[in-house]
Amino acid sequence: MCIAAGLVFLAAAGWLLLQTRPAGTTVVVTGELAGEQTFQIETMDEPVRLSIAGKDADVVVEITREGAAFVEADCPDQTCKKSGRIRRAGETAVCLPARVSIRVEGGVGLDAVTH
Amino acid sequence: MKKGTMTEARAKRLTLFFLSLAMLLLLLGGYLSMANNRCEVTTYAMGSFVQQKVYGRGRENAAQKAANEIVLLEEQISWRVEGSDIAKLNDTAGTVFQEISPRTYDLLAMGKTVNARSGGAFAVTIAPLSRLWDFDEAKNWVPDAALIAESRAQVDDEMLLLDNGTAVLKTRSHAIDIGGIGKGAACEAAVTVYEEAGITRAIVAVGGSVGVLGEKPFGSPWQVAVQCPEGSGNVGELSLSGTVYVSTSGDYEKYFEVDGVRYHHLLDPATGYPADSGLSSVTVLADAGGLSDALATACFVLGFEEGKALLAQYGDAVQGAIFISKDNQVLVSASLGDRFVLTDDAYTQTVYEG
Repeated sequence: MCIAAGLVFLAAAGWLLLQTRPAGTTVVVTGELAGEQTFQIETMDEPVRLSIAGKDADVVVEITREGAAFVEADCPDQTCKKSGRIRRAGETAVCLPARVSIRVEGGVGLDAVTH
Repeated sequence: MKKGTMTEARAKRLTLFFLSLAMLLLLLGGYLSMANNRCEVTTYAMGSFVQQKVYGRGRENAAQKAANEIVLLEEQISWRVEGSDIAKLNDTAGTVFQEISPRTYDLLAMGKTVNARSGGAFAVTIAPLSRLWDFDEAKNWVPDAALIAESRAQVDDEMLLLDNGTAVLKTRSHAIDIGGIGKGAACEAAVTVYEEAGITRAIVAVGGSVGVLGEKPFGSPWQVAVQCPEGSGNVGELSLSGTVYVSTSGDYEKYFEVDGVRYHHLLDPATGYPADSGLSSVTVLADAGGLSDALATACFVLGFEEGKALLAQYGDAVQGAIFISKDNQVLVSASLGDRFVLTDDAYTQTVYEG
């Protein structure tokens, strides 16, 4: 009973943290085979589609100003696509068969960039 | 036995404690998320992303309407769009006055004023030159000098006549291209939609031009970063509230290099070549979006001293400016006060009277 209440408390605290976390500014794509690539999403003019040949699967990652997402994967489980679009600092999505991960970093709470 | 009862009572108390704390957190989170309830949409227009953050009642409709309005504006002012006001004026150059939309008319009038006040550093009739260099197509070669001289001679805003909602170009050799002020004008179109919809907190960015309305929930200002002219990252941040438009003209945006020389898209009508005034970027804050775009371009072409003098002619319509020189000096107008904070220590900040 007590443990369950503790869990509810932890879940509430976690949810609160998520609410207050700022949107990120950098998307880092890491592939075990492909290496690491970083994108400054706030200053991107056009969406980037990245085809990555992975270990046991090939994936396509789409990076836009709104974040990043796995949009294509030729593996059977398709788990990575279910992560949807990630956009908040600290969020990650991974495709295990391809050994590719994407994460958002560096949320400094900016609203816009003039350039 | 007694010990067991104690533990049970304690466990109950602990359970109650955790549950009430969780309830409190949920309430707090709910309040935060309600106040932070915003509509964030990204669309694509004018060759750029259009990013909106709109708070308050009716935000979704307002954002949708603003996005539509920007598309409509593009259809009015892009010379590439068949049937746009500008295409019409270019097509009928050398003939009779044409009726154009009030918005296009106002933009052209504003552009002509900046042209006159800047001694021609900004021109709405830049089309012969801008089409010759055509940075959008990334041809990556320098046009022939004779062609540049010929095109430059055709850039003359006095050849555009405006009269009571109508306009005409005096001869066939002139043409209009106001692509340089489209993004700022688009920000203004969006902010106008927000205001009409009763929205009091919103920010819109069309490419690198930004329009701000009000402030964020809980009264904190919007944070708008100024991009670093070299590489990625930012030079500093602006804290903005109220209604203000921010535009930046920089030599890092669209350019190509030939034999180690950078040819950027900010053309100087006086020479026909990319402007070389010792600056790598200028940011202008103004009370109108098209105006901030036009002034940023003019200031980039003129350089710091003359640019500063141009902005002074606009009085309160200009809230401030940031000039970044090629030798990494960041010259910030005193009017910005502590609203600008330098964040890149590779640059040195100086405040100037303005």
